[in-house]
Amino acid sequence: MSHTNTERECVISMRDITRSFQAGEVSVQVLKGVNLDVFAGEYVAIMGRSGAGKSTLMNILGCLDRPTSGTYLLEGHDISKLKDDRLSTVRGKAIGFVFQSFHLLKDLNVRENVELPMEYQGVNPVERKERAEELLIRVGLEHRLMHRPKKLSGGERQRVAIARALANRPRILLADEPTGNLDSSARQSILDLFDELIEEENLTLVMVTHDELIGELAQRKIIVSDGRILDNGRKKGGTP
Amino acid sequence: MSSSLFSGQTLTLLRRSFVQFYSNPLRTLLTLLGVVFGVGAVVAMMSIGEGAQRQILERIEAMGATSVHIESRPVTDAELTSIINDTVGLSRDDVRAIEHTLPNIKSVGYRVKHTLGVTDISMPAHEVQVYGVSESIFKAHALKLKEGDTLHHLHHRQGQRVAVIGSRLAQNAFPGQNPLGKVIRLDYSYFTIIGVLEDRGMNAVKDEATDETKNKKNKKSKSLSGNEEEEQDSGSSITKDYQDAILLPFSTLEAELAPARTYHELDMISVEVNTTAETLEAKNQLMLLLSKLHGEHQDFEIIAPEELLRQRQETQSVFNAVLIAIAAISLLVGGIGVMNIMLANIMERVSEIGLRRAIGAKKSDIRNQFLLESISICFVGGVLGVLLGLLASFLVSYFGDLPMAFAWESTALAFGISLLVGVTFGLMPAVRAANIDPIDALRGE
Ligand SMILES: Nc1ncnc2c1ncn2[C@@H]1O[C@H](COP(=O)(O)OP(=O)(O)OP(=O)(O)O)[C@@H](O)[C@H]1O
Ligand SMILES: [Mg+2]
Repeated sequence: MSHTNTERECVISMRDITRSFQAGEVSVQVLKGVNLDVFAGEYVAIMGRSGAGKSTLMNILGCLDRPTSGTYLLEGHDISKLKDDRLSTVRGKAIGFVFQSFHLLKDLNVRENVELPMEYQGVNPVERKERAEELLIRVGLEHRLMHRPKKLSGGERQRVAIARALANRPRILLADEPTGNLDSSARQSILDLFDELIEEENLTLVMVTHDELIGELAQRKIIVSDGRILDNGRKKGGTP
Repeated sequence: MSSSLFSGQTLTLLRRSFVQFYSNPLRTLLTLLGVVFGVGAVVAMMSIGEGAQRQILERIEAMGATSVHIESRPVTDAELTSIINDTVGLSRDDVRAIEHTLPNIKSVGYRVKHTLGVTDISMPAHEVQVYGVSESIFKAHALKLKEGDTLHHLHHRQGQRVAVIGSRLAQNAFPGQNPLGKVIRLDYSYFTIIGVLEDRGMNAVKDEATDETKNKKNKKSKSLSGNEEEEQDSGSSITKDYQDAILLPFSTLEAELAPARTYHELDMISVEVNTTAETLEAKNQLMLLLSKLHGEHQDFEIIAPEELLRQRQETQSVFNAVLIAIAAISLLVGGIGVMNIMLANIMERVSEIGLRRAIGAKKSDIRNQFLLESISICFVGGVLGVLLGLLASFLVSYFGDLPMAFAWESTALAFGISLLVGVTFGLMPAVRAANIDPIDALRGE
């Protein structure tokens, strides 16, 4: 943390990003010119009041949404002009999502849920199965491979979701309030897991949270307010 | 991304496409009923159609696919007075005229039919059909001998008192004995049996039921009125079998039994040509010739095998039209049902769609997933429909006395149809699913 990161790769680079929604006759601008750089291996917390535009920003970061204006370079590629199909592939390969409400498919067992992102990238079934099992061992769920999500606790479900997010070896993990639905012990174990993964895999983690404590744990704490970044967290630590 | 990798996914995708059946089995099956009935109707239609087709083909084969038959038409007394000066009915003069006039004919056979009492056999006395036949009737009606001899030229020329009898008559009259050489009495003459006819496959099977009952009736009541007999046989005498009949040389019947002369000397003339295709042409020529000979009075009827086929097909097509209508309506109802269940299904699985999109699914992946699901649902409907259709056609043929034959094409068609219904009615919901905004889908939970 103390070393300089001038040579570190900039995985996310946003310039003057705006996002407006059409609400009937009027157009509401939710993001009002966001500039943001995130470097490989960073652990970033995004905080801010409800309605500030955090999720809107995350959707653009995750390539689920396109900005109304501005440029967004993901791992050096401009994705603001990509076609829908290409965007899907980018999402599948470069980004892992972790949601507040887990979003596991109830008709699939744990291992199949983890395999799902690999199916869309055309990974063959044998490799898929091996990778899924490896990941589930990593998150400590090797004894739950064939369970349906319904049979798991909240913390376990989120572990499955994290394993799924890592399936295609993305370099960026996006989490929108990943601990919002968990009790405090489960929350702690998930946060520990994130820490370990960042260390081991050089993952970049961007997490939206309302929890001040989590905000303090992160390397950077970005404050969003009314569609702008108030504090990009660069002041603390030795960042240039 | 390559196609070889894709094939690895296919199995998983196929297996998962049946998800509706374990998550909502009852709802899914109920929705399917339309498809099941629609496909069932198609299969039933084709099985029964195929059966009828085979039956008629076999009959045509049996009656001689290359023969044209001229049948005498019953004439009422009232008609008789007006035509008697112009025509003498079907006669051997017609036969000679045909032999001399028509080119490209192979043979001309003729026969006359009488109903006579037989007494000298071990069966109780009863009436039988006795035919006086020309030599070539055997070929024209495709008659084969099971044992013994046919009626030869010489038998005809010399008016010998010999007879060839039908197989069932042989069995009933001489159970466990060799009928050859046995003597039967008709009126006051005795005839030696020289041959027994062979059964006629399909034809025999088809006529079994009716003939059996008739036979029993005959056995019970000695005096079955001639009229009734005439009525039962009218119009169908060629397709009728000779199973219970006695065949005598034409000249012998004339000489020995001297039956009362009726308006028609002959009940049928059969003209054999070279190919089935020539039968229609021959029919037209015969119509011209005989109309002239009979003073333009239609006291006869000409039947070509192809025509018989066509008549049957016409009856069939009415039946088919009804079934096609049933099939179309059921499939439409079924298709709408499938569309409905797919829409409901998609509404319930919006968040799944959002998740799949977030982890890398393209719009087309989502569309294909739901299309595959609706096709799978319809495929199951197709399987059940084929079973229902076979059951229905079995029941129809069992109780409705219609022949049935399983047509492989019908199964292929049924699956084709269910696939088509799946695609047609699954496409709109699938496209709708593909166009759901992943952000909305993930948020709305
Ligand atoms: N599709 C949309 N159409 C119109 N307005 C929208 C749309 N999406 C978001 N908004 C508006 O944008 C604003 C920011 O929403 P966003 O979900 O980004 O907030 P947030 O910071 O994530 O809040 P929270 O902490 O409650 O999750 C809200 O006022 C919301 O109503
Ligand atoms: Mg939010």
